[in-house]
Amino acid sequence: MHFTLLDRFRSKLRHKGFKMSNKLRQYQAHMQRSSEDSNDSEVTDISAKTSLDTIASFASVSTFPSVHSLLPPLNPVDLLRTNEQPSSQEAVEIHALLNSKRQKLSDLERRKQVLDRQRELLDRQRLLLNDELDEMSDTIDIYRGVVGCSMRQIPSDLLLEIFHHYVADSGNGETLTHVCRTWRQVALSSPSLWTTFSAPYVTKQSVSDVLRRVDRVKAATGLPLRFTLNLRKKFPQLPDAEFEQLSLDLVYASITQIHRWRSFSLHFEDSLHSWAGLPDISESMTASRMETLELGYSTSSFIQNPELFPVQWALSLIRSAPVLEDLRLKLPGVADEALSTLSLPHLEFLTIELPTITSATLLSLLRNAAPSLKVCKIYVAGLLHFDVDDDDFSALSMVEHSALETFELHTSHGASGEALIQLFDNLTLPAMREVLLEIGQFADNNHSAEMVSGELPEDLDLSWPHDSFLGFLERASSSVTSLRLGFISPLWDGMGSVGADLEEEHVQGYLDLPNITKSLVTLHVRRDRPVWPGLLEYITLPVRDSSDRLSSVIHRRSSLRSVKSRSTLNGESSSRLATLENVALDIDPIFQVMPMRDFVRSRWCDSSADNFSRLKRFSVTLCFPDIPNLQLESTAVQKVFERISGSEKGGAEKLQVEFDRRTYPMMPMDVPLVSLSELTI
Amino acid sequence: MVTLVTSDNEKFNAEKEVVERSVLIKNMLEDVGESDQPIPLPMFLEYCEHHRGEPLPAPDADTSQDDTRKRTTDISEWDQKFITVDQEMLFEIILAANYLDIKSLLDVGCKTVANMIKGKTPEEIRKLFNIVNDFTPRRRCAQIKKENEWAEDR
Repeated sequence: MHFTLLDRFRSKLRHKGFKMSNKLRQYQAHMQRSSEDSNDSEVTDISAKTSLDTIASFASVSTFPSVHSLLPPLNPVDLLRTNEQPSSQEAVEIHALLNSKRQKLSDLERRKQVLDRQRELLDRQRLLLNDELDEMSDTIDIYRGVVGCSMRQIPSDLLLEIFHHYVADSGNGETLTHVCRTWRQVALSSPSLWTTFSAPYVTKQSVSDVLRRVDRVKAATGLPLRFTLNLRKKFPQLPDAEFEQLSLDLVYASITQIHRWRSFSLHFEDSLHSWAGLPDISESMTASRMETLELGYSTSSFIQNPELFPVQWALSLIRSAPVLEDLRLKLPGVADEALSTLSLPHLEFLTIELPTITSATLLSLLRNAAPSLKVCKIYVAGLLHFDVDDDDFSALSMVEHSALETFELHTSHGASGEALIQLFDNLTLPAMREVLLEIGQFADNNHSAEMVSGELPEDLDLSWPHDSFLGFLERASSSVTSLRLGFISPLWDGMGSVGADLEEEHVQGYLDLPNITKSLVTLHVRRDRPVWPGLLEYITLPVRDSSDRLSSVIHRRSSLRSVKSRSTLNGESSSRLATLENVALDIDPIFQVMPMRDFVRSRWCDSSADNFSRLKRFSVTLCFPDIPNLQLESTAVQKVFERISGSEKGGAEKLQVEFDRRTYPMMPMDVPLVSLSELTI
Repeated sequence: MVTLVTSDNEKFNAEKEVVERSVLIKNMLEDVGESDQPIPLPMFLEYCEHHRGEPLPAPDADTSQDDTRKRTTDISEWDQKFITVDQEMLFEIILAANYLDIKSLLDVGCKTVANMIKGKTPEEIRKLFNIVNDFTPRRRCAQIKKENEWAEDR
């Protein structure tokens, strides 16, 4: 019985052992798959073998197994999913598994270190390769420059030409001599490169540089010299006494070479007071070669000490130049007699900026001083009336200058009394082809106004001298090519102007003159108010005769919409103003945009109307009033003109549109409101 | 019309007035007279076309090196765009303009190079144009001293 039970138990155990062997095989297969998956065959083999051996040993040797030990051991993976305590065998298996995993981990870490080292090596190699590539690329550039087209292919005469352009702007070619031997040789071989002396500021360095260079060219007496000296501080901390001494050193250094001057330009700051130490220009000192002389303040602010300026020294400098051709003066004041007694027989270009000048002095200057003068530009704050009761009456006799071709008068604050009338009634310029008269303060042209610090005469008045100017134009050359007019209206309690205004009819009257209408090429009119549908029509639409034209234009001033139909009805050819090529007008688009749109539509877009298309340039300055809420309108108008300029082939080049925001002295009451939807071409 | 042929045998037709901006071509045309034979030369038609009608410099214009008064580095907007090319092309244009005797184009090229130099130190100029500093060490010391003078200035 005991044996029978024992045999049964053994038989059961065998049967169980067989079953477990099957499970073990299954487990082994599973572990193998897992090991294949995890690439961990060695560990799997070991653990499987260990498990099998353990089970086999347990099956054959264990005679009295515990209940727990009789249960099949859990898969280590399964074990992780339960909370059961592992059996001792399972613990052994897991320890073995851990050891194997740890070994594998260290192996992987070792392999990773190897790869890291390899990567570092490759990175270093890559950096080296990059450096090599850059070096090779630079080398190729250098060698290509040797055989290709580069600076070294430029022959020395062209190199010298480049140097001349450089020096003309920089004033100093010193840098060029430090680049290489070839450049140094080329630069030093041309003395003409070293005859321009420029000191944009007064510093120790700039003064010593000029002194040294003047010393260098002393021997080359045949070369004329050019000086451009700007006596102003670069560093404010430079003491005044030192600044003045350095400034005087510069002037002295240049004066020693006065006989070699080709051009001399001296600008200075208001703060310079040491003019008492200036070298005297004696009669024996002659600037016999000087062609260009420029003297003036460099400051753009008001002049505080005009009385300190050495006017007499400047005049003696002018008198020492017998062949002077170009004279530019910007002085804070000069005696009328001093100017009128100058004698400059070779002078061709004269530009004067003064606070004031009398009409008689200007006439005298033109009568006596410069018989060869071709271009005369006068910028004054005020043109003063010459009182014939107290002064010499002959000063206002008619002056006829037969050489003057260009005459410009800019007066920012107008004229006193009848100064403009005195000037234009007594001046005849039979050779004049270009004329400009601007009265009032224009934003880009207030030179003389800038330098006036003292009080101007109270009787200055902004008034357009129409009749005198018309007579002046009538007596001008038979072929006037350029007419530029500008007028800014003065204020009178905000209600209107004091003097006569430049009117549309005035301009048309000038254009009707025979010597203008047949030869005028350029017409510029600048105003501070809307100009002028009638004028636009006039310059582009020919009519039968002048009287008919004038009356018809006045009649049609506000009716540009009918321009095209009239043009068709007239059917005339363009005979008047046939040479007109450039037109520049200030137009206020807020007031004029609708007529302008119709005008442009009828003239610009209509290919049959060749009166307008003969123009080479049509420049319009759109002046927007500086009042709120106009941004939208401005943008819309801008778009209209952009469309205009693109509406014809080549139109974009012909039509120039500039935009300017301007403060008007008075806003008209009848401003038409423009609907944006109407602004189409 | 005149037919121009580039060095790689490309042909261009252009009006006589345009190509005569080159004094060289103008002289060639005068020498050859009316002919159908093409004139070989590199292309500068775009430049000449743009400047058509502008007055040509007088043949006896003063070109002496003494006259620096009229030289500036100002370049018109169109010319500036035209001349915005790489350095190699810029020098080719200068050399060709010199050969073809197109004074205005030569001026534009030279002004451009002058502008490139302007405001640069000698070292920067060398780097810009791949120029080797071939001064002797003694000269270099003097040069460095000279270049550092500004620091002592007030």
